[in-house]
Amino acid sequence: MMAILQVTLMPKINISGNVPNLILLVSIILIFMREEKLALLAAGLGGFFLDFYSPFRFGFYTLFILFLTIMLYLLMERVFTQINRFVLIISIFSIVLIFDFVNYYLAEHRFSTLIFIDGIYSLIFAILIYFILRKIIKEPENILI
Amino acid sequence: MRRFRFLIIILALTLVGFFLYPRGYLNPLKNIFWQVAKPFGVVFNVTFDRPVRFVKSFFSFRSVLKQNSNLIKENLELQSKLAELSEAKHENEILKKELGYLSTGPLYNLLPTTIIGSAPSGYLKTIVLDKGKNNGLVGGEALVSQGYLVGIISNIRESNADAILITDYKSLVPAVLQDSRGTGMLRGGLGGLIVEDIPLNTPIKNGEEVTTSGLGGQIKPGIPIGKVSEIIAKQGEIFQMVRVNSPIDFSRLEVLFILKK
Repeated sequence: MMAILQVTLMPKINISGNVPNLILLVSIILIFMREEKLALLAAGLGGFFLDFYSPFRFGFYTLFILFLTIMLYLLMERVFTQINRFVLIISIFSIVLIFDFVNYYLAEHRFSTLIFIDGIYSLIFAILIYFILRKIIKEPENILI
Repeated sequence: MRRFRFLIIILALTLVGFFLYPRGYLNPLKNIFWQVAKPFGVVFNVTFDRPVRFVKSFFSFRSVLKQNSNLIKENLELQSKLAELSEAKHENEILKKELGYLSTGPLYNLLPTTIIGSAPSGYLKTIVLDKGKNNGLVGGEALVSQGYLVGIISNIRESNADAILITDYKSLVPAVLQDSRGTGMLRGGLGGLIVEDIPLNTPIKNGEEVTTSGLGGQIKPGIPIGKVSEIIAKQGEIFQMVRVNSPIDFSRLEVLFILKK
């Protein structure tokens, strides 16, 4: 369903061509909520379905989103054992930037500052997704509010 | 390992898909996926387009006013051009009759189409249309909106097809400048529409019409693309480039037609 929304609804609410990736954001938020298994499932399955809708070579979104999710998980385990709002914001922003940098380079073969706009736009969506997931997943988590 | 069994299955399927993809074996599955997404695309077209446009209009009010006054001026110029062209057309018909030419029927076979989705990344200017092989598409057809070229059909599936917009960096369309007759390749990208590889000795005029040249035989000649807005000639280079301004708003594509071969 997220993959369908990504290709039908999200392009309609773009800002200067920037479209946040729902699957990536959901996976990131789930990692912060200590739902690693759900995060990997969202990343793997979401990326897998997104590949069917993508003009890129099949497997690009599955592998890339999984890679970013696993990297974030390892960072949370080894480096940021206590998560606060600042870590959350910087992590989301950085991962979205990396994701967009690769996407943009594959599309245009160069770098652009447009990806920073997407970083901020994705942050806004991440906050919305966080509150939605908090209602759905009722187990305690380590984010300090 | 058992905890992540699902992940191993997904990775294995991804690997299979990775190798099957170049041979086109995934096209039937892609067709089904887009068929499932189509109702959502159609519903979101109807429900979200107007409110989003309404909100965006508040941010572009000043440019809308400027655009309005430019369009009024252009409309008056076009009306006088239309009168001249009607005379030319009439004369053309008479001359054709005199020379015994067969009368030409409609030039293009137009197929109306709707956008059902876009590429997952906003940086890829690829859209998905609700027409495919079942509607007689073969690939390489031109996609037009309001008479202007907006894209080229690329991957065709049974009931839907991908179209690369001319604003995509990977899009290359043979183009010709109507007055100076300079030919080049139209490329898209973040820098806008640029016609490259125009010979340096071509006397280009600002504001002249740019159309498809038909070179290569893929796209029919004479499809309007836009007007020259800037001439880019760098010292030491053997070719010059022009920036092309299309009157089409590519973020608000609505009524589209495919020019069938």
